[in-house]
Amino acid sequence: MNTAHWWFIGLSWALTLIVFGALSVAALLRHRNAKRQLARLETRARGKS
Amino acid sequence: MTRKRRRLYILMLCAIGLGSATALTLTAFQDNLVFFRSPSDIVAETPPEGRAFRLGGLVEAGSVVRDATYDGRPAITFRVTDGAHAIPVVFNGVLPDLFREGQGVVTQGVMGTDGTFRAREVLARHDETYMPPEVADALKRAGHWQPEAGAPPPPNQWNTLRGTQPAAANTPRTGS
Amino acid sequence: MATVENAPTQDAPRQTGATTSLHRFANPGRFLRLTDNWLPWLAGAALLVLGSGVAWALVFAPPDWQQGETVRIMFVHVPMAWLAMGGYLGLAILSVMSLIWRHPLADLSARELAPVGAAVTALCLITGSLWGRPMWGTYWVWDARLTSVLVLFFLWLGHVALVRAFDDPERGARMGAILALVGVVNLPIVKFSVDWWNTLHQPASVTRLDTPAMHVDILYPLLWCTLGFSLAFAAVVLAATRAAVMERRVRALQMAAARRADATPATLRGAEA
Repeated sequence: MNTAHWWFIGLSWALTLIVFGALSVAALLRHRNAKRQLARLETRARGKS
Repeated sequence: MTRKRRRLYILMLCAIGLGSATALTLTAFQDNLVFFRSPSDIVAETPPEGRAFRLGGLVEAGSVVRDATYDGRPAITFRVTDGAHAIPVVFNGVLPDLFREGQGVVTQGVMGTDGTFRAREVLARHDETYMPPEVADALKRAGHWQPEAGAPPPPNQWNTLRGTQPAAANTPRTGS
Repeated sequence: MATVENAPTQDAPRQTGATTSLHRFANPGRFLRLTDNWLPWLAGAALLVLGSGVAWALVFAPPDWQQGETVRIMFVHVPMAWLAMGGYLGLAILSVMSLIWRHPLADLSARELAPVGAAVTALCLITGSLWGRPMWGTYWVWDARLTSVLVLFFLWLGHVALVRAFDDPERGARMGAILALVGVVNLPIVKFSVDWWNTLHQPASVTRLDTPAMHVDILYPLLWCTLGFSLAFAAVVLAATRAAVMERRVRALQMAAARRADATPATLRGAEA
């Protein structure tokens, strides 16, 4: 009986880790961009007032 | 405050309505939600001839005969039981990994006139038990369990058992 | 997390205009300050737990006595299933907060939670399918458990689409919240489908009243992987929600600046520069 289905195991883990990695990278990049943009706008607004 | 209260009550009313509607629907469709029928169901109410349905149960211990048809395809016969009744099944095809005596299976096919179920497809059902091979071996060695005869002993008898220590096999520790 | 005690301010009649919309950000603003330094810790913990979890699940955990090595798929499949259901429960709580207390942060985080929830539900279905092929002998059957999880996936997708389908984000959030709450009836169906009806899918091994039917050598790595994936899930949703709050504030500031520029007479604008 062959129960060593490493292809299925590898695909499951790879897919899961890739999806989580992609979600994390996308969220972190978005977070960094928004933070930078907000900081720029806020210093400009403060400078004006 | 009252506005929020009112929204809360409306929401609760909707939840009760939706919940009871769903419960009623599910009870009404109870029969259609059944994925397979047991041998007892089939004995009690024989499905119309030629109509495909799913038969599920345990593979009876000692009933599996692996043979081959004249053109070389595998021909497996076994009996599916639910304890009360058993129905013979014949299947030409590749069995899933988990198929063994004592295992749950779900087979799809038609009932032959001779009372033998001709399966087009055999799926193995996994039970909720997960244990390392050493633990299973220890339980079998200690005589606590025969996999082909049925379900394993209650989990609290083997949940923390160390299969690698032969001494532990005879005195299963109880899970904390 | 957002609290309810300052909700009455949100219940005030809505007006349009930059000042009110900025005022409504009072709560999200506090959320930003409160969670300012959570992200590195959360992400670090997730990486640490998941890194060791991968090694534990793929190398050190024993095989199963009948599934063999294929049991290692379970270490991702089960956390995805729990996150799909737990996440949906979170979405339902956010929807209640949105519908009753009109909490602006609840709308924002529900909007950011749904795509992640859809992703983990898809992963749950795919990894389950990849387990089912070698073990059951089929990628898919229409039994009550598999079908109800597929419905859960469509509910997540429906929320993602519905929230973004309206020009007015508040209307979209309202519709999404209603859909999420209607979909809650599916959660007990998913959970108890394996007990109420006979299914190909096995009954629960861990989340049951009795002792887990899983040996500790397999159970502990499963719980560790679940912790790791949950931390990663939380980090992603937190980062996305914080980003959404900041993006909205950026838009509000840009609009206010544009309005100010329009309102300022040309002579004054010249003097200002």
